[in-house]
Amino acid sequence: MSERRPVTRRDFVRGTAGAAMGVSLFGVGWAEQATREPRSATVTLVRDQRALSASHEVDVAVLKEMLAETVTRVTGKANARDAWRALVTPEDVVGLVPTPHLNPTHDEVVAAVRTALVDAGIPADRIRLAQGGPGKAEACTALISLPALKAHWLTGIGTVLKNYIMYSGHPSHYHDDNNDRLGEIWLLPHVKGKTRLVLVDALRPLCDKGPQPDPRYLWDYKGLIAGTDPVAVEAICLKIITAKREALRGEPWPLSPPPLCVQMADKRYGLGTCKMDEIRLERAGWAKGALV
Amino acid sequence: MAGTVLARAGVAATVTGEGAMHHQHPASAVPAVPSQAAATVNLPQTADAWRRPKALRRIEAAGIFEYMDGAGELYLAYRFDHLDVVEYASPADGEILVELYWMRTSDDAYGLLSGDWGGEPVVLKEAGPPGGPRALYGAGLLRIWSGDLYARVMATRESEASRAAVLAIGRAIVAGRPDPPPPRLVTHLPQTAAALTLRRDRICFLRSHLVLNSVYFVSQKDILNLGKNVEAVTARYGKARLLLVRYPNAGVGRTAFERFRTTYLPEAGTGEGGAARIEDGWAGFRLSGRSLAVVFEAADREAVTSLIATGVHALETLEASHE
Repeated sequence: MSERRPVTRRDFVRGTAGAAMGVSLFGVGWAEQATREPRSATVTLVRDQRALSASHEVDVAVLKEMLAETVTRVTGKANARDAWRALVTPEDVVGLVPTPHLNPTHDEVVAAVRTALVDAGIPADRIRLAQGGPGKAEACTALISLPALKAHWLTGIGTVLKNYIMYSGHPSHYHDDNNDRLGEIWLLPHVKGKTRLVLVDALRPLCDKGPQPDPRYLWDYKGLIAGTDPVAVEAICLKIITAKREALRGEPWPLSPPPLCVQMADKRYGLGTCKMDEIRLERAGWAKGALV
Repeated sequence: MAGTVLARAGVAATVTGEGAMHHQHPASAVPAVPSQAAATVNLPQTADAWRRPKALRRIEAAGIFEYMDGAGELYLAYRFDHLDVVEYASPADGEILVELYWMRTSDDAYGLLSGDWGGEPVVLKEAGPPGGPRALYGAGLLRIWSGDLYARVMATRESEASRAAVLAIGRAIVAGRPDPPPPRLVTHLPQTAAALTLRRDRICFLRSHLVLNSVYFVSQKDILNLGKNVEAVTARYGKARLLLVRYPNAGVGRTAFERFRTTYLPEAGTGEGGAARIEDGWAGFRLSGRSLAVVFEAADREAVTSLIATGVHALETLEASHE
């Protein structure tokens, strides 16, 4: 049996010809494309200049305001309580899924979400931390994904799609050459359909790849990025990271390797859209340096 | 107060010497050089306000994934032996994490530093070796190439005091250690080619396609058959990129050459090399004995031809030196 032809640089370049700005990192010519109806997704970006102190400490009161602004915009509800109740119910077992390593999710973000859920009437004993193996997801009826915004040296970006890698039970199967398969984890029976909100901690993102954090590439963005379409949220994250890298170097500095997983999450796994012309970005708050 | 001598692979750590240091007088704080200086590091117990525990944590290769939550591939992509970790703490000023990555060769440690030449070059020895930087500092993080050792010293809160302490620890790490030259493949890189100048801040020594892809994406799979017994360097000349690869023998080199040609540049014909205009410019390659020169994104045929010729000449010169 012949080996499947690997994706090369040429495939990417070929696939990007004429592509809309914002998906220019992704190839399309080689992807397994399905014919779909036009799609749309809304991603909310809320920023506040007061969110971090000069020493990068989180102002929890400001964060609470940002979180309320974010969930009301995502859901279209009038207040935070109604917004959270539109996402989860008191009968749900709600799993909060922060990223524990390489620019981890701020503890304050996890705490703020937990507090907001309790304020919305979700019993505290039905809210749990759910990062980890498959059993963590199996035990929940609803998941709120809370990754932090960061690049990753093996997958290009390591934010939304990669946040569930432990749910596979075999994280090494999704490393290296196989990172394009990250999207399939979201379709595993114990994961599929449970994600009610993707809320990205973009307070202080990391724009280069690791594997360990290099503080030169951390910056105070002071934002939350949220939506219900994980691929659309990831696409916005990608735009921000890419723009920051170019600003730092003053020349094109594309993520390398290119984030295969994002395109594949759209085209192969149908998790959402990565096309910028199908994504509506709703912004609120501090505009300077938004990069998107 | 005793400093700890961290021994090279497989040798138990021992304790020796006076290790206290203060950034105002770094020279006096550097402990006495151990007799087996090439294989050891003498970490001080204190650096200004920061103090470390006596015990250091040893992570062998098999445990690096646990230490880094699956992010150990970078170190294993080079020839990693083991890691020593210790954290200095100051009640008022945060922590300073020291990671000492012991590699099988100096080339491997150089490769880790070469992944990113950004940051402020710092000199940690009074009589430092010539050539490019061996230590780079930025935003609280000091990265060091010192012989077969790659070190990261990182302050959680950057300040003038933490910078001084980080640099003092860095000086202690390199004290008495040898400073071998960069990998021969790197020193043989042409300074100019096709009227283009080598960009020293875009040189990366590597052995793995994962590292290559993190610098310059070529293929999702390892179509150049890279590996621990292979040495490679990639460098930029203007927008063009030159990749020189040295395989263990001519047979391995030819197999890689054929795979690359078939997968990446079938237009280039069936000889020992070739070039073609593709989607992002001119690309070409040539096999020379056990070595392969590859060029990406050259502006025109003349540039790709010149870059390949210069690269092959560098490889043949290196081969002739019997290194």
